[in-house]
Amino acid sequence: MALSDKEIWEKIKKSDIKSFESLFCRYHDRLCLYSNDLIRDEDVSEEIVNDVFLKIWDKRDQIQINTGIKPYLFRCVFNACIDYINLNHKITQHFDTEIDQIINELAGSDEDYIFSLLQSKEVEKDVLNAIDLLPKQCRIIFCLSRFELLTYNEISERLNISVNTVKTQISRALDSLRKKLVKYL
Amino acid sequence: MSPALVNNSVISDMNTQENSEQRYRLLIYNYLSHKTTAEEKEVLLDWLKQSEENRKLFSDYKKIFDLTVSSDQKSRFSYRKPEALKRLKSKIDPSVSDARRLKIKRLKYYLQTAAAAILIFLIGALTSFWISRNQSVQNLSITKYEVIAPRGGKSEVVLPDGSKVWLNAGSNFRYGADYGINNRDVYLEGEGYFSVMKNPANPFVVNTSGLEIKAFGTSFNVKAYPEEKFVITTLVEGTVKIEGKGLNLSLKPKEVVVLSKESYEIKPDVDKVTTTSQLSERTGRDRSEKKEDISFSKSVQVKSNVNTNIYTSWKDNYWIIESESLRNIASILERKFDVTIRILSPELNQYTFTGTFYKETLEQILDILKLTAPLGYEIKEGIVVIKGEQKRKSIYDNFKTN
Repeated sequence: MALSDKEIWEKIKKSDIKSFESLFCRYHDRLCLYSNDLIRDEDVSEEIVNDVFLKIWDKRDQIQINTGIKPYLFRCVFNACIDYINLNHKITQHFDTEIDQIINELAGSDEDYIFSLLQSKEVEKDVLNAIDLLPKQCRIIFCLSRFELLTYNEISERLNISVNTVKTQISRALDSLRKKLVKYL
Repeated sequence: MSPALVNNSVISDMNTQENSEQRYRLLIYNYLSHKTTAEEKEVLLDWLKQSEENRKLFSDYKKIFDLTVSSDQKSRFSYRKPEALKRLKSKIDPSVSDARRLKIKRLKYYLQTAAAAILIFLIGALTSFWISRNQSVQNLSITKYEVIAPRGGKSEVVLPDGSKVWLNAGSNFRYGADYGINNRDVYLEGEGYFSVMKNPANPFVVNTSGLEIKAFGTSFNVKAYPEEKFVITTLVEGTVKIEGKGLNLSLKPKEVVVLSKESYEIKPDVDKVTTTSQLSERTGRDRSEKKEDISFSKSVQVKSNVNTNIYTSWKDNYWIIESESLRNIASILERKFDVTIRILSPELNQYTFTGTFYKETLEQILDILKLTAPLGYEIKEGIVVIKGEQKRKSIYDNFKTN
């Protein structure tokens, strides 16, 4: 029987390292994905998450958590990412603190939900199915953009079509996916 | 892509309702994929503030975006979790990291044909270390550690700085006792996957087949078996440089570089690599320079945006093959299961296969190959004989022409 977050936190406060490890295992992956979403560097994302946990352990007897450990963890990672970005100006242009604040508030509880969806084979199948059902050109363009992370220009050159067509098709793909996956939204 | 382009077409021209929705959809997608300009962000922010409805739309598309994360990336963090936990624990309790030093884990591998014990040389207690007399200039005699992953086996090494190496079957790996002090030089014959700790001051250098593959803090795979014609380097993340033999190549993540060893002697090689049309289409300024390099020395092949799993999954006991010829599959099987494979019908060499194996035995793999191509096999005393089946072949050929 898995302990609740609250029970785990109580044990961590009493310096129980095993509980600390299980907290780490429970949240590591999704915190990394979350952090990677913000800063786009897998190594650094992992480091940030690691540091957050280290700080929590070091200060376990001083930390007062009122909102629950999970929002607290996401909050810490979010702040650490912002610190990192402020320190390394290079990627600020990709990022808007205010927008992310809004996202964070509206998606605060959703991270967990999305993560549970990502764990499910059935959801994965539905997502792949929805992608498969896109018209051929639309599907190819969406996959090149989303999975191969090509820019619109690269896609337009590769497929010999205009950048505007690429954009229209991506927009179409998003619309269609939203309709087909509406039960998960 | 040029930000101005996005700018023009996304923000302007929002005449109709439908058009406007389409624009914002794209704007959201651009934002999530880190492609927006400052101006666009303002537009997006205003729009988000406008209504609850807009925020719901945003959250919908964010979920779509998250749900379509490639399974590649999803699984990467969980693969690395144990490693991350170890690192965290070593920071909490320094004694854990001491115990970890020079530890080598032996991996059991799956062998049905031979239940023979896997021979792995363990560093420390069991390593047969030898003294390199060549470097007699130095007072300090240099000890070298050697790790062997025998045919039919695999092994895993944790280096003193925490960098980790996985060795595929039939590989030999060496490093000096001064590793991590003045250098991070290692020597490889065969195939290895490297997960290197970050240390900008001290590059990690893999010496193999006369090349130096330099990394700073990164994950990459090197396949350089002495008996094979090519050195294949796959970069999963970070940066890697290949130097030596007149080469100086930088890899980007998700790139694979295939080097023909014969090219070192500037002998044009008219094999798979040179005739290939797979040369990735490269765009952008910095890349066009490299393109010249490639056409100059015809036996360097660079593929971009590959699914790196194909090249690295062996370390997690998966074996992914993609349009691989039977000939290549056979040479991997020989190492993986320590057998000798003879293909009697030459035309079989040209058959290509695609698929994923996970812990299958030699027989299971051969049975699967047999199902998909007109061939049969026989195993006798560690020798596998593969031959064509004429009757089934004609059925297949018939099928193809119809």
